Amino acid sequence: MTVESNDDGAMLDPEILALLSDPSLWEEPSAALEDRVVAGISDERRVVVPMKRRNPWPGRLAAAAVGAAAAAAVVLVVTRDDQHADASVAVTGTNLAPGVKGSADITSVSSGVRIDFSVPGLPRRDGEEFYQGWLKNCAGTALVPIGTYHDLDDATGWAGVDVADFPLLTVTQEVVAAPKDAEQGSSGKVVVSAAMKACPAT
Amino acid sequence: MPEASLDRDVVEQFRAGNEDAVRALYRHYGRLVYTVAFRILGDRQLAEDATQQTFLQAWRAASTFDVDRDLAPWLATITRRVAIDVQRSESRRPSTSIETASADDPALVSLPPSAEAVWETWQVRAAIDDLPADERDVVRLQHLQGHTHAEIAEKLGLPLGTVKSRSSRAHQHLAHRLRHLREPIDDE
Repeated sequence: MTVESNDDGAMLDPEILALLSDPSLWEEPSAALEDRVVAGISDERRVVVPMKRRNPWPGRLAAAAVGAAAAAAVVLVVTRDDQHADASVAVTGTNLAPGVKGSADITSVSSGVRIDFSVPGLPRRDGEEFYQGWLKNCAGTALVPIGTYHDLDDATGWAGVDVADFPLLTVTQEVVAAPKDAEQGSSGKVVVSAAMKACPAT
Repeated sequence: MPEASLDRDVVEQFRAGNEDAVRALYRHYGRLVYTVAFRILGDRQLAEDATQQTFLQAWRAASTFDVDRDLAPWLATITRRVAIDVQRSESRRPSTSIETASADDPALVSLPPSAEAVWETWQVRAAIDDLPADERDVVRLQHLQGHTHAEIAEKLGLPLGTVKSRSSRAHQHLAHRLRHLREPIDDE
């Protein structure tokens, strides 16, 4: 059966007519989905809020300027007063991601340090391209990977080192490389950075 | 014309995880999120999983959202991204061989829809939902089922003239509501 030729569909563009005949446009979610959505958010709130604090951070960290080596980005470190994280640092885009701003929550747990990024605005990297997070020492002589991502809108990294020794947080853009390839290291193309404490001026 | 935005207070309460606000947001946008997810994934269960994940991610990122802006494009973007991630995750699962795979096997799906196509899907579904129920039924039978006006009249037990007038009103409404999709987009 076809829609009759004198139908009112002539008022609509072909793309819209195609969508109107697509079954997915007429599908209804199950009645239980609303409760699932509400429960999903409630569950996550319950998990996040009562986190026990070990507080490895030295009291209330003052605002700190990053040294010139830190990708020319000025970042602030503040202590959080809520119960979610030990601290939150401002994350700032470099000249590879101008105007990008966000934050990273730092939380110490027994297995290591969790770093929760909320940095919208970076273009998504897919396929063989990705972002990689790093912690770096003040001297810039040691680098620890914390995870790889498509974007940093809502991303989490983990580190098994003490952030007091590796206070510089950077994210680089990377491409997939073979094992033992030199490209497996940092590309050096830093897109955003932050500092969790001030490094001595060099 | 996009669907009416939610009250600013509701969005702010959603940020705080208020259950009533989460429900209000779902009732306003849930069917649209689900439609986009279903169109990308083609599977009811996966689409519901993606819908749940979309609202969770929206809540996690809500502090970065400007409450004075329209929430719909932002939610549509999150939905597309979540559905594509689900699709990729499904396609990585070990499955049947290529010779025996069905045409709708997720592993065979390749290019995800563009952001523009997703937004068009969102807008068309919103326009459908905005129709009065009696007009929506006629449009569904006409376009989804492929029935003629006469067949619809018989199926619904209505005079042919009533079906024709409902169809005309519904299509005028859709054309008016969706006309902006064909208008050139001004750069800001």
